[in-house]
Amino acid sequence: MPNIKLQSSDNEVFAVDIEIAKCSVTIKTMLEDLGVDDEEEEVVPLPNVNSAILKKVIQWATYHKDDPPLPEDDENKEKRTDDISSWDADFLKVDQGTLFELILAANYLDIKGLLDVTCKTVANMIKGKTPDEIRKTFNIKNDFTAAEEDQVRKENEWCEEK
Amino acid sequence: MPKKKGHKNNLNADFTINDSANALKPVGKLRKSVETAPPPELSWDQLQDEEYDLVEEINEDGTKSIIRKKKRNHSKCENNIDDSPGIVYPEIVWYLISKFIKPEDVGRFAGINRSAYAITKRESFWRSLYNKYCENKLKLPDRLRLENSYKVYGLRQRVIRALYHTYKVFNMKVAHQATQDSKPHELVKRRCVNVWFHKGVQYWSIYFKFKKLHPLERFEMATSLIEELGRVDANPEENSQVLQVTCHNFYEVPPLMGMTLSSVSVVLSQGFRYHRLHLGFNTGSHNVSRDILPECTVILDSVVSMVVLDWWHPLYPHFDNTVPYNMRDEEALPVLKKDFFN
Repeated sequence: MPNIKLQSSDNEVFAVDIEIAKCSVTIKTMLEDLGVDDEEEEVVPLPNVNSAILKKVIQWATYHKDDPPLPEDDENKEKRTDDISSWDADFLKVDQGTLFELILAANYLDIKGLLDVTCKTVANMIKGKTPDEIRKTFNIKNDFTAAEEDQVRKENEWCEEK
Repeated sequence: MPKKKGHKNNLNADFTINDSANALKPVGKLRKSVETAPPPELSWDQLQDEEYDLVEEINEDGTKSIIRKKKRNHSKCENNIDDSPGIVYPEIVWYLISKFIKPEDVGRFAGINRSAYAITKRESFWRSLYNKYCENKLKLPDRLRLENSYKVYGLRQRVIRALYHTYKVFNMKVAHQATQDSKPHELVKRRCVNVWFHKGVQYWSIYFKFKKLHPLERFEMATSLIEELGRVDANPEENSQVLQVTCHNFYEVPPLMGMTLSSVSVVLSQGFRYHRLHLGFNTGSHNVSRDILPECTVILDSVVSMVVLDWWHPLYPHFDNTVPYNMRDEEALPVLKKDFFN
């Protein structure tokens, strides 16, 4: 099976089946544009993804390699967030930092399936929490002043649960 | 124990012969107090607005009053932001997540941090919510349809109102509120900006529009008309609520515009069939407490129902500065085309 070598930002090299690597539109386009043959064992540098995250991405892509291609994204259609498969749910039981890193990596590598499922997971975790609880859950810095925070809360009274 | 500087001087100032005679221990010779000039008293005009904040305080009786308090050092607060722990993620992360945020979660999403908040101020965010949950829905009134509208001004407000017509979660919220008792008491300390009537088939409806105004609210003027027209978040009805009282009979209401609602009481009317609503009004918006006697009282007997409507409620009367069709009735009093204090 032809392999391709993916190099993470911390210079770790992963040998991956070329078909699995092509789950990433970024890598697929790169290979097509550069005209790399399947026999050549090229090293593709991925400066925006570290080895820990790249390992997770490869694990996800390997499991989903036989999935049918996802339909074109319809921006006007309501996006469900309750259709995460049990494998994906278990796969994303990671610390919150890793979850956000996976979003960034999926966006950079243009892997729609992974991007959708990671964003859905975060959107589901936001539900039912106060902004302060959300910040604590994901260890997000609060950059609002007290007055700004109050202003944002007042502006959004329309969607408060009463 | 360390000596406190200036402690003696302060003592001397109030020390009398009586204090000396009644002292438990003999008092030594006291030094003459050093006169220190008291800080010059400033008139209200001299006090800089920037130095004071208007703060809402809760009184013992549960009512709220607005007082002036010396401003806190905001620069200190801002420094604390830098010290607060946590990770700052790139804005793109919030943009990607925002595509999966449901309408009921917009508030909690916007409250996470400035990046998430900024996304909820974008035209694309509100257009996307409209397209997902409102577009081509039969329940949506024509005036809220955006299919062929490219108007940016007030887009957020229009989409929120549209969502309250078409989005199931908000429909259920409105239905649930209808089963609850209305809370006209919540309107106390709000300023009445408009009153009008509408004659229905059986009943009269009287509408009181209230606005929560910051006493020294400064209206932010946009630098240009173009900038103002581009405001996605513009909402002239922000902080407004309408009290709709449905009565069996018509009751004349004196001019109330500009007055502050100071008291509300609801009792059973004679015969126990209807309610009697007392609304007390006072001039001025400050220091309205329960003890104050209303300068003007409106008594509405034979009240069939009353409901407090927020600007996003589907029944909230949005006129867009024109008299609505169903109110162009000779028997109905004319509606003020513009709110008195807007």
